[in-house]
This record gives sequence, C-alpha cells and structure tokens, in this order.
Amino acid sequence: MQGIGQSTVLMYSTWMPNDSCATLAIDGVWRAHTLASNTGASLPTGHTLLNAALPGGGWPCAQLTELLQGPAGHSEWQLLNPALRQLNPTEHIALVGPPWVPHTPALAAQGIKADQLWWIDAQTWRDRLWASEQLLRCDAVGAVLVWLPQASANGLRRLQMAVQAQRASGQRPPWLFAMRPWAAATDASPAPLRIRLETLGPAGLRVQVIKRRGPPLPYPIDCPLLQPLASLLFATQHTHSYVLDRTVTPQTNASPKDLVGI
Amino acid sequence: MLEVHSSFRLMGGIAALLGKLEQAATPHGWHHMATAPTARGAWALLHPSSHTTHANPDTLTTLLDGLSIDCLMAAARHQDTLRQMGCRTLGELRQLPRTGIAQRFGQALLLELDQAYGLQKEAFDWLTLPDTFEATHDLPHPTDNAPALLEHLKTMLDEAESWLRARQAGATSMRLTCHPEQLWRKPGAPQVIELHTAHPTRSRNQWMQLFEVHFTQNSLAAAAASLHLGVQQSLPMATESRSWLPDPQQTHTQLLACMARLSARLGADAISRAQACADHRMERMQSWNTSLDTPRTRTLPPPGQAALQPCWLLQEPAPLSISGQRPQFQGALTLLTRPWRVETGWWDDAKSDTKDYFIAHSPQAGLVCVYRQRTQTYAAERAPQWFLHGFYG
Repeated sequence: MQGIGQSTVLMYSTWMPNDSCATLAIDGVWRAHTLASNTGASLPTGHTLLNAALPGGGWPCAQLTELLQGPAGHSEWQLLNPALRQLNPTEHIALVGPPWVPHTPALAAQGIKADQLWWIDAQTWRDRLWASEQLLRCDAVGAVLVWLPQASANGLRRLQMAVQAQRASGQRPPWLFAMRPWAAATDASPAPLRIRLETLGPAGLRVQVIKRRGPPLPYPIDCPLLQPLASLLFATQHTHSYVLDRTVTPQTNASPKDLVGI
Repeated sequence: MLEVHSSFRLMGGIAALLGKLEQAATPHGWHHMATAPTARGAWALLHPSSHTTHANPDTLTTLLDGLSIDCLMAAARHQDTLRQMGCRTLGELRQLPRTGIAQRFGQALLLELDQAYGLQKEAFDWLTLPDTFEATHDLPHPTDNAPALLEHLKTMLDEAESWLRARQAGATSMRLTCHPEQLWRKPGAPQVIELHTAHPTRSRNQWMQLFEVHFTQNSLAAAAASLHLGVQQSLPMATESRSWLPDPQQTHTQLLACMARLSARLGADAISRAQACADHRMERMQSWNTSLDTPRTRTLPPPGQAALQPCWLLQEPAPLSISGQRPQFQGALTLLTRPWRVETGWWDDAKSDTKDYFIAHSPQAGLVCVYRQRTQTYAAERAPQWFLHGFYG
C-alpha cells in the first residue's frame, strides 16, 4: 500500500512478527514498533544517546527536521555544530532569517568556516519559506537553517515536499532544519522528526524527541555542552584552578593557552 | 535551401537528418522537402510532375530527365517555344545541340541545365539575418484568452530564439504589441507589453514563462487580432560548454544565480557573507558583505579566544538592569568566569570604553556573554553599566 508520502506504515496489531519477519527490511517500509532507517544519508549528531534515539542514527537528509525552542531559544549551534562540521568545506550552509548575528570566529573555532555561511535576511515567513525552497534546489547548498516563528501548515508541507524532491537529484540531498517556538508543538506538522530543546545552562541541553518514525520516546535526553567551553566551565566549578586563583600552579587538564585572558 | 552534406556524420546519416528536419520544420508550416546532390536539381524535384523528392548522385540524371521543362526557371520562360519544338522534358532538352540552345535561348539556360545535372558548380549567397527582429502573426479570430495568445506567441518566440542563436546573443527586452480588430466605427488602440530581464535570455521557455506571469496578472483592454513581437535590446551571450565531469565552477555559478534570484525578491541587502577582520572587539571581528562575489581574506583569530566567544551576537548590546548588585536578564545572572578586558579602538570610536567580558548563566536564557563598561571620564563617577552582548549556543 503506497501512500502519498515516501514510506508506508504497517499498522501495529496484536500479532507479533516472528524472527524471520523481523530481519526483513524493505526500503520505504517501517514497522511502527521499531525505528525506521533513513533512505538517504544520516549525519551523526555528535551525541551518542541522541544518535541512538533518532531513526537512521543521525539527522535525516532530504527531510524537514523541526527544532522547537523556548522564548530565549538559541541552542541551535550547540545541537547542530557537531553534525554541521562534518559537511564538506565546499558545501554551503544558509541561514534564513536568524534572530541574531552569527559570530563567525566562534563558529570557525567549532569547525564551521566563515566561507560556508550565507546570511539571508528575510522578514516575513512567506519570504523565508520561498527562500528556503530556492536554496534547497542548489547543489552547492549542504544545509539550510530557517527560523519560522510562525508558518502555515501548507507552507511547511510545501517545504517538506520541496526538500524530499531533492532526493531524486544526482547530488547529495541537503539537510533542512526549521527552528520554531515551543507553542508549535501542539500544531500538526508534516516534519518526520520534531525535537523540543530546553537549555540547562552549564549542564548542557535537554532534548526531547516529540515525533519520530518509530515508537514514542517518553524520556528526554541530556546532551552535554560542547568543548572547550565545557572544560572551561568545569574548571571554574572547582577550586585550585588556574582561573579562580592565580597563585596556584596549574594542575588541571586545561592548558594555559586555552584560558588566555581569563 | 540548406547545404547539409557536412552534417551527415554528426546527425547519423541522411535519413536521420531528414527526419529531424521534418520534425523541426512541420510545426512552422513547411511540408515539402526535396534532396538532391545539386541545389537546382532539388528545386526541380519539388515540381508536382516529379514522382519522388529524393535523388542520389546516380539516380539524379534519370530523375531529372523525366521532369517537365518548367522545373527550371530559365527554361520555363521559353517553354512555349520549346513545346512547339516538341521538347517537353529536360531529357529532350539536353539532347538538343548546345550551340543552338545558347544562340536561341541564351547562355543562362545552358548554365542552369548544367548546374542541375551537376556538370557545373553553383554558388549562392549565404543568408544574412536582419539587424533587428520583428515578427507579426495574424490570429484567425480576435481573442483575449491567455492560453490561445501564448500558443501563437510560441511560434514567434521560436523564431526569435533562432534569430538570437544565429547572432550569438540573448535578448534583455522584448516588446509585444497586441493590435485589436480594426472596426470602422471604433478604431482600437494597440496595447504594448514590454518585458525585461536582468540577464540576456534567448530560451523560448523562459520568455514564455515571463509572458505567462504577465498574462495571469494583467488583462488585455481589447481582444487582439494580430500580434507583433520585436526584440528591443539584445546583448552578446556566451553559452556554456558541457563537460563530462561535474564542474565545480558550474555549481558555483548555479549558487550565485540562486542568490541573485533571492536578492531580486528580498532586496539587495538581504544576502550577506562574512569577512574576517583583525580586531579585538567582538562586534568588529567580521564584516558582513552584501556583494555576492568578494575575494576572501584569511585572518583567523587565535583559537583559544574564539572558542570562548558566543555564537550569537546582538546587533546592539542591550543594557541590563541591576538589582542587588547583580545584573538581571531573565533572572539574576551568575558570573562564571573572571573578567576578560578589551580596551581598544580609541582611534576609531570616540566612545569606545573599556569592556570587561564575562560568561554568565541566566536561569532561563542559559549561557550568555555580558560585559561591564567603565566610562573613561574623570568628571562624573558613575556605576559601571552592564550590557548583554551575545548568547552561547
């Protein structure tokens, strides 16, 4: 039974499949009680627990992935940097309507070069959706990050269709991430993967997978902070550190040149 | 008249070439085609009295012999005289003595006869295209229906494309004039539609799309009875050559074209790329350029400092309120590090003051980058002001 979308869902019934059926893997078909596997490439997220929770073991390509953040939400780089730095340096990353100015030296230190970034300042959500669709058709664009504080369901569906259409093209399909507010969690969305982010400060990020191609995940996953910020903050929590007390000789793992100026 | 001998090998033989020519020519209303080793022979074969329209070098003589004498233009002038002499076909004409024909009818007839049979060389002037392109098309009945107009426009745009292709140019501006039906009592005024493109375009499909968009948004004042298309401005256009391997230059060009399209709709300032600058002030470490293709200068900051900087910067640092000697941003801020002083730029900005940067934790906003600003004036002692400069993550 081939529906309109790319994959077909088998309805979960009381009859449990036996072992021979469990090893049967058909492209485009996933059983509701198991995690789906991505038909395209997956980008490892950099956090092992999150990799295990996502279908395909990473961010899916040629699919719309929604990241829902709070009112002070700004945790996208923290979550996406380990994945985005695995893209080729020739593949460009487009930021459509970011709320603040991206600071490229900090991003360059985390592996995303300033040459790869394009800042597209679109004001209305319609313009942002249109710009994302145009960018997805470029072969040179590896990832598109679009900020949609509001968007209609039709617009999102169209975006999902546009990114799925790229799977048929010869080049590697792009990754698409849409940043939306927490309030959008109750709205219906065509995105196959929806994630709710909550920031825990120095402890890292709390990630809850609201929707995925697989059984629902009731517990959130805590992702720690990225290096070297994590090691710096770890050093500041403890005494006898170079940061807090300059008379003590450095005995921690953090080398002095990492903490220059502090 | 087409000279196609040199194209046989490329097109895969004479049959394939003729098939392609028929396919291309039939929509324009050209139905009859003849081929022969000589041009005048092919022209002669188009005559209704010929049984076939294709002649090989060995069959040319026999085929031409059977045709009537008004196939050739020079012979047709004298056909009454020739018929009275009992000469009806080209074969019989050839059997007449040549000096007699030359004396009676002129050398031109002999020359044409020899050229048709391939005994003499023939030369023609190459077709030169006019400097401007104008095409008129009369519609079978007046209509203001957009799909019907586009159908008639398609043939004219095809001609425009071939004209542009022959001149190695692309059109940047086209004018379409729709003439209404000229009635005696109400003479109608023609309606002019002008379309422009940023880049020279010659493709019929692209121009059709532009006209389609125009027709969906605008309507004609009166039903059009005839269409007149003219290319207002054309510029030389170089076509890209295809390559076997994926061309990185091509993907770059495609990316630039995409960005040009985005800037056409969103504005010229909407697309920007970062360029690193050597400066210790965080807001000046990069400058955002809106020109799409700029040379990149590489100045990398020391890695230790850059890793501790926030990923997001505010456009303007936001002042923070202070309560109980602690700055507030969505809760009381807890400073996690010691100050990192930046004191520079006095030559640039008269108001640049000493800034002490801290990484702080806000209960709701997470890790933020704040700074404490001390003013350099000795006159008034003010409490230091706190500003929020960026977010981590």
